[in-house]
Amino acid sequence: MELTGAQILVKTLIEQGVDTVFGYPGGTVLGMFDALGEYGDKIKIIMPAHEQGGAHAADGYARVSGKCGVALATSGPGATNLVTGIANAYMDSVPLVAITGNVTRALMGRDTFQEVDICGVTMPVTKHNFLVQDISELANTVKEAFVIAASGRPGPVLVDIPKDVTEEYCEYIPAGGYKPREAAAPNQGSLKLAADMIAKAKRPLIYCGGGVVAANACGQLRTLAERGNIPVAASLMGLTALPSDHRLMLGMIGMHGTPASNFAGERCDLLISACSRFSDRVAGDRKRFAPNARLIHLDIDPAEFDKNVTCDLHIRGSAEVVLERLLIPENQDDGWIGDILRFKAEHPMPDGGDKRRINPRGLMRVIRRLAGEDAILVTDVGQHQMWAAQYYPFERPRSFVTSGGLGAMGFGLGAAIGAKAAAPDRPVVLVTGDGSFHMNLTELTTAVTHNLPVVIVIMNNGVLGMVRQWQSMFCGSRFVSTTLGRNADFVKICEGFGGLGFKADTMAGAEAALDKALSSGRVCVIDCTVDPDAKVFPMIPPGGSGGDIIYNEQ
Amino acid sequence: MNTWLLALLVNNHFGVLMRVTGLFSRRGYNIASLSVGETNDPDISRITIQTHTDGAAIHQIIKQLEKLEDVKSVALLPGAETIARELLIIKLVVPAARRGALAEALSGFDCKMPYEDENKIILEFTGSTARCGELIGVLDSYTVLELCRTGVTAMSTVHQIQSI
Repeated sequence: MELTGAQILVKTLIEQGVDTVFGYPGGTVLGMFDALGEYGDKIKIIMPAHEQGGAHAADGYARVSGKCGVALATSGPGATNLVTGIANAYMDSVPLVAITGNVTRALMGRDTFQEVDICGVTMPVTKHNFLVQDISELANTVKEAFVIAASGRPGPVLVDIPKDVTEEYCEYIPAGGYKPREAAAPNQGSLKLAADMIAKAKRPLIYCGGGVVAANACGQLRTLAERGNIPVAASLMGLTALPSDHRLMLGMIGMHGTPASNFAGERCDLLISACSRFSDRVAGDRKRFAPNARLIHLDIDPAEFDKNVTCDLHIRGSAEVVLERLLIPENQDDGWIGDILRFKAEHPMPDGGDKRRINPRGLMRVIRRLAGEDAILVTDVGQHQMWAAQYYPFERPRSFVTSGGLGAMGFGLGAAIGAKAAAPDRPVVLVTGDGSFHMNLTELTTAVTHNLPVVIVIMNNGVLGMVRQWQSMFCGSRFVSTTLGRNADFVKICEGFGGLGFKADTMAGAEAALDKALSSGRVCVIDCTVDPDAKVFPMIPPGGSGGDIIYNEQ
Repeated sequence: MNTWLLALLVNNHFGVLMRVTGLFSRRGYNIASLSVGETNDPDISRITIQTHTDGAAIHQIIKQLEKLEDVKSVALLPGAETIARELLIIKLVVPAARRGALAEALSGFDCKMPYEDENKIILEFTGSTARCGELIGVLDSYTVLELCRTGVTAMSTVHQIQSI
């Protein structure tokens, strides 16, 4: 059967299990949208207000569903608008397939209207990209894009398709559904060695990263931790691997990590990094991270070994298999975890704050209580993000969607829309700041139009809080360009887009608004006034190590 | 800092060289020399890269290169069992009166002279990077009009480098 390239593309997407595409139309993707319309019973198009929002939505969709997210954009500006979203997925290892149109082959290289070499642009922020120049290779290329995105360490792949390739006809030979490549089995000898090291360690610590969540290996991690009585400190990306209230869970480690996690990092004699990458936000001082420990690094990507911190033993393999095959003896000695818990009791996380205003820390627990354990928490980037990471009680893997590696302000609303599209029956709450929300708030229209009722809690302090915090600590409190002085009325803005708006100045007010918002079935903004001088603590200054921790403002 | 030689087998596509060199630049590694050409398999090109870096970084470079979809294999060529050569072409002003002296100076080098006219000559030489340097040194007293080198291309005498 002869089909157009666009029809082949859409049929191949359907074969890969795609049922939702975050796409924005344009000149070079006319054919693709035509074909998407033709197969509209199988694929839903969610059209963002701006392609960046679409890319973040595809990312959020992938994080929640575990499937590859798909973003689609036209050539030129459409394609470049995807770039932040692609980079974000790259930094957080999120499987994403970005499809872009391009000008016809005969016009390529001539600075044609809306022509950009998007393969060249995205080379540093994709696992791989393709320019499809031959329609006979289209189906296999699209399938291969999914294979690459989902295999090994996941990440984004871009497929650029010239307009005339989508218009040509070609015999359609189904490529079939993709299967991720199988990871090689971990080295048996190294597993044995690691198990021995764990068995002999007096103070072992698991440093859990996003790879455990991405590989759906949280069960295996939990089994290992419980069997060996090994406390777990998590990177931002690894926070949902174990419920926050699990007795072995110490919370986040690193720059804004908990005192308990950083204490354990300093004191441990063996650190087992489970699919994390020793980023500068965790190991500020690479030479002094876990200074008293031998280090084991488990990862599917061997390029992470010794990249930031040199480890004593590396085991390459999928998280699921490696964690399952680490056969360690049962350990019931509570001495080490007891030491940590005593330290934790003596060094609690800061709490409270101005009683007249909304306490952002307490608000996290209120959100969780009202939204329930089923809720998905999405954040933007900044102070609110750290408060969420520190204080929100996580229950289930893949229930926390945040821009970790790239730290992209403006990520949140698109990602929340993608999360809601992936899990329409679960409550989705976006916690954001007034700075972050301002970046991409146009996506309110997407949430309203596509009936994706997300609840948006704005921690409105009128400043760029995290930058202001750094200015106060490192720039002599010279607050340049962080005091926003904007007059945006977020309640009216949300109403203007067709949602509901609430304003809250007190904890009771915020709680009442949340309650209404969560049961409204509408897109809601809750504009919460918070103290511009509230700071995120504890904090290890950049380049520092656990010993440099500042517990509180005093 | 050491000097390392890498041999890469890569897909013979457009853009592959950019992926490889882009990886070096964005991760902060330096390429001292690079040469590339098609192999006996027209689908596969071979890239030889010379780089100066420390031992930890070279392993990081190799692992990053191995992650590129278009890179089929990466081998670190050992110094001792490797034939590493550069092609050097140099255009010199050599008056007739000095031609005899030049021939004598070049006696230790297996040079070819693919072109000469009354004012200038072009020399062609193939040898190790060090030998190329020595030859340039010998020609120090002549006016060099142009000089080009291909960069190192190399092959191990012991190992067979195959694509996976």
